[in-house]
Amino acid sequence: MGIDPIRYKPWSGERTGTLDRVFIIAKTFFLQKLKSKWILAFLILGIILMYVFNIIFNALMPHEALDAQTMSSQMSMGFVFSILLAAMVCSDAIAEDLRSNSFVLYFSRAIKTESYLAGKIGGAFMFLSLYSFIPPIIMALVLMGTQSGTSYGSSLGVFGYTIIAGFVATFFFLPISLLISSLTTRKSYAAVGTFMTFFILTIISAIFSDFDRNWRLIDPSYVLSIFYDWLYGLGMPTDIDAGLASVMFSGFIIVPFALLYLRIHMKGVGK
Amino acid sequence: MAESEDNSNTIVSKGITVSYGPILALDNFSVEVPSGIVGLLGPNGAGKSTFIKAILGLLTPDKGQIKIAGHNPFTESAIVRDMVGYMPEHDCLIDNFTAIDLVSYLGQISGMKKRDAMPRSHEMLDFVGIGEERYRLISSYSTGMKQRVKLAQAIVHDPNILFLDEPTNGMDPHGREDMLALIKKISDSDKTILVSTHILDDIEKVSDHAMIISNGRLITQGNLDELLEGKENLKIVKIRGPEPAMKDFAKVLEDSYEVRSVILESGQTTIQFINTDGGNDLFKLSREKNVQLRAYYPERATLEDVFIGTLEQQNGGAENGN
Repeated sequence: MGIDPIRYKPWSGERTGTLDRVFIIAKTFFLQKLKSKWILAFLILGIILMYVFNIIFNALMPHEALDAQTMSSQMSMGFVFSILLAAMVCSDAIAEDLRSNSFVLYFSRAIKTESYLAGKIGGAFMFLSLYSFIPPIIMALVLMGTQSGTSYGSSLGVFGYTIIAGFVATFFFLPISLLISSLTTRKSYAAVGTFMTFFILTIISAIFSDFDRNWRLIDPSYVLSIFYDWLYGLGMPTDIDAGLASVMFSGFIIVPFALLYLRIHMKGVGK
Repeated sequence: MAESEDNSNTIVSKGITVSYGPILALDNFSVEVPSGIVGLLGPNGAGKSTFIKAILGLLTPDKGQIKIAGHNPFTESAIVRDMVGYMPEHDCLIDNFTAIDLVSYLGQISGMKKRDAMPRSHEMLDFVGIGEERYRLISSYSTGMKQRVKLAQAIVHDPNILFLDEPTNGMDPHGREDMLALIKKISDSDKTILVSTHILDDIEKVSDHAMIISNGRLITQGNLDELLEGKENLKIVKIRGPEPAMKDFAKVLEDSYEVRSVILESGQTTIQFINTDGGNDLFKLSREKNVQLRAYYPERATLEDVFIGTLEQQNGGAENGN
């Protein structure tokens, strides 16, 4: 191997800003995921089962316009795949950095906790959007393109809501998945832990909802389906407390994020 | 002081105190780190890592202040960290990357554009001696190769200040020599390189300056030659001649100086003693006693002697204080 005779040369190029650096973390994470055959296979399977058939079926069915009911139902259909995909994609997002101690490589550079998290979230978001964001938009466009009526105004309204719904669907499962990834150094534990967390919450919600329907709100999938109905203007279930539903919706995002931030921050300073 | 703060490489800490609960990791720690290769020495738990973390702005001190090239690492952490490179002691490389991808990725996170980062990463991997192996996954690398990649990632963005934590850890003797030569080469481009290691021989080979830390305090620091010369002015004199004359010579020395050892061997006597004055008296004495003065030179202590002696003094002082 020996020492190469090349001398050390200084570098005096222009430095990029924080946003560019966050984007590099996100892009690299996304590209790493694209190299994983298993995750890609699962993604393709999910798209075929949850979207391709539905797109073909709905496009062939006579329809006057893109309607809210169809899109809301479609968005609520793919929860299991969304959760499994989030668990698989996010499993090593932070766990791998914990295992390899590569945190120190990030935090000895001009990367703060929020930038690091933004990069990881961005990368996971990019990948999950291939399932939760882009296919619904394609479906909405196809249904608009094949509609028999001329009322494109209402279709465009539903299309706009679909963009918001797709964004939320992609983002909603990330905080919990990333939090669990930050609690272990094994990606398999993180993946199983994420799935089990959602599964246990669903079971508990099913058991206690017989006593009080509001118990259903500890099931993230149910909270998300209520959100879709509300977003598409289909109303909310009358036996559910709307205020509590919005608290739970925010809670599933904010609480795991706050814990995740604290966890990464403490790790960053070596505690 | 103002002059040194203007220097783009200087680290100045004044009265830094950092505590983890009841444990005082840095205790009123003040130091000015000059340019060049500086050895940071201290036993485990002395506060070396805490000092490095404080410089990187990862820890907020309870009191005191640090300036890196005139910047505060806590309020201007982005500026400071862009001018710092860090080679951690432990394994920290991401296994499922190739070396070229990892160094380029970390270069981009340090603010390089991709069009700059990729050629620069190749240059740095060439520099540290990673050849075609750079296209292999890091998980297949030996410890020595990983150390080289760790160095490459630390210098890819051309930092002014470099922290090397145990840079020769786990390397074979040949690899160690290579690594030390690389550090020397990097220092030629006017950088401050802080080397923390427990292999004192490494520090002796490459450093210009050394700092010894214990219990969160700076025990001593200085130019390496001055530290090694010792404060006791230990000297060696070698004489030849008739044995009774050499004994007389040694006797006179013992009466006038603090003699540490007298060794008679193969017709030559070697005397180790402390002398703060010049050597004129010795020439006079050798003439009087009819012995040949064959050599007279200062005894050069090793850094290990200085390190152990300093720590013993410190511990003795602490015990006396108690």
